[in-house]
Amino acid sequence: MQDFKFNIYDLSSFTHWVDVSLYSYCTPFWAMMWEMIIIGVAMLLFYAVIGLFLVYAERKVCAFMQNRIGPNRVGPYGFIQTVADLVKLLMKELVIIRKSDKFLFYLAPFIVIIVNFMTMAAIPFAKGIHAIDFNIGVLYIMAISSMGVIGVLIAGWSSNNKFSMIGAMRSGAQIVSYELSVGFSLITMCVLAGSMQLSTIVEGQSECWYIFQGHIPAIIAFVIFLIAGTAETNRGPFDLAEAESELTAGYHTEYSGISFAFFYLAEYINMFIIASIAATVFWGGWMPFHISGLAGFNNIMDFIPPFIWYIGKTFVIIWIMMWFKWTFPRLRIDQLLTLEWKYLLPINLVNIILMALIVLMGWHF
Amino acid sequence: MLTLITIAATGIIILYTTFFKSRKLLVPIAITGALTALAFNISDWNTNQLLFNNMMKIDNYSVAFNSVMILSLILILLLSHQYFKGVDKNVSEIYSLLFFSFTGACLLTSFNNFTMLFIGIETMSIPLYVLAGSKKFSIRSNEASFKYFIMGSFATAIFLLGVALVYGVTGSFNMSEVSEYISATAKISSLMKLGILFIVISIGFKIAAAPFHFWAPDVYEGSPTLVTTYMATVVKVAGIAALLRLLTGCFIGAAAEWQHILEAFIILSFVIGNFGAIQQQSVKRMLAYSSISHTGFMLLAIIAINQFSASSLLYYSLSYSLATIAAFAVLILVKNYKNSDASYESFNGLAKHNPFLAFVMLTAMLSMTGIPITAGFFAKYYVFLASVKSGYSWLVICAIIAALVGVAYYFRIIINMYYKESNSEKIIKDNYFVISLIIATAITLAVGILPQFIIGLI
Amino acid sequence: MIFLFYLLSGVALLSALMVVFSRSPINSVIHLIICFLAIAGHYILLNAQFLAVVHIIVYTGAIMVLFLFVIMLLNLNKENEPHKKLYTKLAAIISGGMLLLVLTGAVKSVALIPFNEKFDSQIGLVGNFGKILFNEFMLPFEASSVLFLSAIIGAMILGKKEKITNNE
Repeated sequence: MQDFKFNIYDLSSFTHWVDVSLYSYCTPFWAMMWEMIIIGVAMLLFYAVIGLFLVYAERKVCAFMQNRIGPNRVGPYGFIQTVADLVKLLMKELVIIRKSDKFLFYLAPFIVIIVNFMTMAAIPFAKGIHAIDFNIGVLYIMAISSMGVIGVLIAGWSSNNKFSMIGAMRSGAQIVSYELSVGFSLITMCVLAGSMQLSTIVEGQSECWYIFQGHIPAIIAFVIFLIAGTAETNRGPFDLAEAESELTAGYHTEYSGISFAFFYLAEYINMFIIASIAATVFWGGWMPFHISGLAGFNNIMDFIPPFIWYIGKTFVIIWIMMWFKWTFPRLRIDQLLTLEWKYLLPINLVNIILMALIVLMGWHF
Repeated sequence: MLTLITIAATGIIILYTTFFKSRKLLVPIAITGALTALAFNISDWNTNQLLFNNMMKIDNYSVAFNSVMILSLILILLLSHQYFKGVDKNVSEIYSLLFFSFTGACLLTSFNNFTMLFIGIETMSIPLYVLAGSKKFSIRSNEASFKYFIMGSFATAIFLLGVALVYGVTGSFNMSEVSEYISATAKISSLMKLGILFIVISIGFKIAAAPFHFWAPDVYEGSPTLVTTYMATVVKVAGIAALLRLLTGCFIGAAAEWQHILEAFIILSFVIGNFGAIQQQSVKRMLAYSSISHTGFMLLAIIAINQFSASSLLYYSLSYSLATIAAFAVLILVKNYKNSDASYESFNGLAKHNPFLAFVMLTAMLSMTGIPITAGFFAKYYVFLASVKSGYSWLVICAIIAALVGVAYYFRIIINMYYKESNSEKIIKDNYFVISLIIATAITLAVGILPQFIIGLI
Repeated sequence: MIFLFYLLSGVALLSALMVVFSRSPINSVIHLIICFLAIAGHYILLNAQFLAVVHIIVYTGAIMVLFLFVIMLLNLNKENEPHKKLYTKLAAIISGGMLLLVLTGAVKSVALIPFNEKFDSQIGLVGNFGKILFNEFMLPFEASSVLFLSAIIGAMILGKKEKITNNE
C-alpha cells in the first residue's frame, strides 16, 4: 500500500495510487473493470458539466457580440439557466414519427455521443489524467471523430424528412472533405513533434509550444486546423447542416426532448474536443507557458496547475470559435467545398513539405 | 526500372498537355515515351537485376514480354489518332490512363513479390474500368465498365484471400521464399493448395480463361474498340506472363496441384471460346470469344512448364497481339465507315475497293487460325511442342480440334471480304493508321517465316 | 484477451451476416460499420494500432460514409429491391456452400502453425511500421501512387458533367 499524495501539479501519483490500491484489493479483472467504471463516470460527469457550461457560455458570448445581456434571470448571472433548460428538455415528450426507421432514429444520437466519448478518452487533461495514451493518439482522434458523421447521416435519413435529409447530406459532404484538412494540419505538427503519441507531444512542448517552435508552417497549420475544425463541428459559418433559415434545424429537425438534447450537447462537446486538440497539439496542452532561459518567469508559470492551463487554453480557442460563429455569415455549399478543395487542401500539402524541410534542416526553435 | 519510370512519367506528361490544348502533340509524345521505354527496356537485356529488396526481378523473361507489350502499345497508339478524332473531351486523360494501366502491366511481368503482383494487377485494372466506360453516353460502354468493375473487384478479393492463405502458411510474400518453403515441405498444406487455387482463379479472370470469362464478351463489345484492343492484347499478355512467372518462380513445387486447374481452364476455354465464337453475328463479339480460345492455347504453354514454356508463350503472345491489333484496326475502320455494330456482312466486298485493308485482315485471320507463313502457325506449333514434351498429348489433340473449329469463324470473314459483293467504297484512313497496319502485318509475316529470331530468345 | 478475441469475432461474424440478411441497405451499411470496427478491434489485439486506426479512418470514416451518402442520394429502399429468381438463389446457395465446405475442409486439415519466434510484438506501432514501409516495401508504396493517381483521374473523367452532343 502506497502513501496517498495528492499533488495538483502531478496527478500521476494520484492515479497511480488508485491503480495500485485497486489491484491490491481485487483480482486483476475486477480491478480493470472498476477502473473502467471510475473513468467512465468521471468522463460522464465532466461531459455533462462542460456541456452545460458551454451552452451557457455560448449564450453569453453571443449576447456580448450582439450587445445584449443574455440569460440573467435563473441564478446569479443566469448561471443556472442551462440546467433549467436541461430539466425542461428531459421532461418533454419524445415524438415518434410514423414511417421512419425507428431503430436508426433512436440510435443516431447515441452514435454521436459514443463517438464523443471515445474521442475524449485520448485527450490528456492534465499530467497523469489521460485515459488511454495511444501510440497513435493523433490518428486515433482523427479516426474516431470522423465517425460522428455517421450518426448525423443516419439521423437525417431515418427522420424521413426532406429538410433533415438535405442537412445530413450537406453535413456528410462537409465533414468528409474537411476531415482531410484537420488530418493534414495535425500531421504537419506530427512531423515537427516526431511522434503521434499525445503524451509525447505534450512533453515535447515543455521548453516552447509547438506553435512557436514550428513558426510559419505551424501557424499556417493552426489557422487551417481552426477553420477545418470549426467546419467539422458543423458550427460557425459552416453550419449548413442545420442552417435554420433554410432547413428549419437540419438533421435534428424531427428530434425532440432528450434525443435533441444529445445532439445539442454533442455539438458543444465536439467544439470542446476540437479546441482541446488544438490546445494540446499547438499550445502545449497542460504544459505551462515557458520561455527557455527565463528561469524566474518559468517558475511563476509553473505555479499555475496544469489542469488550469489546459482548461484555459481550451476555452480561449472555444471563445475564438464562438467569435467565428457570431461574426461571419454562413457560407454557401459550393463556397464551402471550394474553400476546402481549392484553398485549404493545396496550402496544407505545401505546408507539410515546408514543415518537413524545416524539421530536416533544423530551422525550428 | 527505367522502363517503368518512363511509362509512368509519360502518363503524367500527357496529363499536362491538356494545358496546351494541342491535340496534334498527343500521339507523338505518347509514342516517343513508349519508344524511350522500349529502348530502356532492351538495354536491360541480359542484366539480371533484383531491385528494391527483391521486390522486382528484371530478367530476360520480363524484358522480352515487356517488349512485346510495348510494341502492342505503340501500335495501339498509332491507331488512336484516327480513333479519337471525333472525340473532343478528356482525350489526354484517356491516353494517360492507358499509360498508367501499362505501368501495371510492366509490373506484372517483373514482379518478385506478392505485393508487387497485387499492385500490378490493380494498377493495370483500375484505369481499365474507367477506360471501358469512357464512352460516357453509350449505354453499352457503361454496362461494360460496370460489369468489369464489379467482377474485377470480386476477382481482386479472391486474389487477396489466396495471397493471405499463402502468406499464412509460409510467412512471406517473397516468391523465392515461398518457393523454398514449398520445396522444403514434403506434404503441401491444404491451405496452400487453396491459396494457389484462389490466386490462379483470379489471374484466370484477368486473362478471361474459360470458367471465368463471363465478363469478356460483354466488356469487349461494350468498350470503345481501341480499349478492347488494349484489353485483348496488352492486358492478356501481361496476365499470362504474370501467371507463368508466378507458377514457375513460386509454385513450381506444387505443379501437380495447379496443373489440374489449368487443364480445366484449357478445355473449357476451347469449348466455350470456339462454340461461342461460331454463334456470334458481331465480329467484335466473335473476336472476344476467339480471344478466350486463344487464352486456352497460351495456357497450354504454361501447363507444360518445361524449358520451352517461356519461349513458346512469348512467341504466341507476339503473334496473337499483332493479329488481334490488325483485326481490331480493320474492324474500327469498317465499323466507323458502315456506322454499324460490325456484323460479318459489313465486311462484304472489302477486297475490291480496299485491297490493303483486306490483305491486312486476311493475314490477321490466317495468323489467328494458324496457317503457315503467318506467325500464328509457328505459335501454335511451338505451344503444341512444349506440351507434348511434358506429356500432354491429349490436350494437344483437343487443341488441334479447337484450331480446326476456329477455321469456321475466321474464314467466314475472309469469304465475306473476297467472295461477296457489296457497293462499298474506299475507306479513308490516316498515315498513323497505315503505319500501324503495315508494321503489324510485316512483323506477322516476318516472324512467321523466320521464327528462330523470337523462339531462341528466352 | 481470449475472451475479447471471441467477442470481437462473434460481433464481426454476426454483423457480417446481418449485412447480407438485412432488408434495408442502410441497415446493411450500419452492420458493415460494426463489422469493420470489430476487425479494427482485432488489429488492436494484435498490437497493430496504426493499422487499426487507419482501418477505421479509411473504411468507417470515409468509405462507409460515402456508401451511406450514395444510398441516401439514390434513395434505395426495400420496396424497390429487385427480387432474384429462385434458381439464382439456389445457385448462389450451392456455390457459396461449396466454398464454405472447401474452406472448412482446408482449415480443419491444417495443423496449427507454431508460434513464430521472430515475431516482434512492437511491429505494428507506427514508427516500426513506417520504417518497414519505407525501406522494405518502398516500391509497392510508390507504385501504388500511380494506382491512386489513375483512380483520381478516372473518377474525374467519369464524374465530370458533360452536355450530350447531338452530332454523336
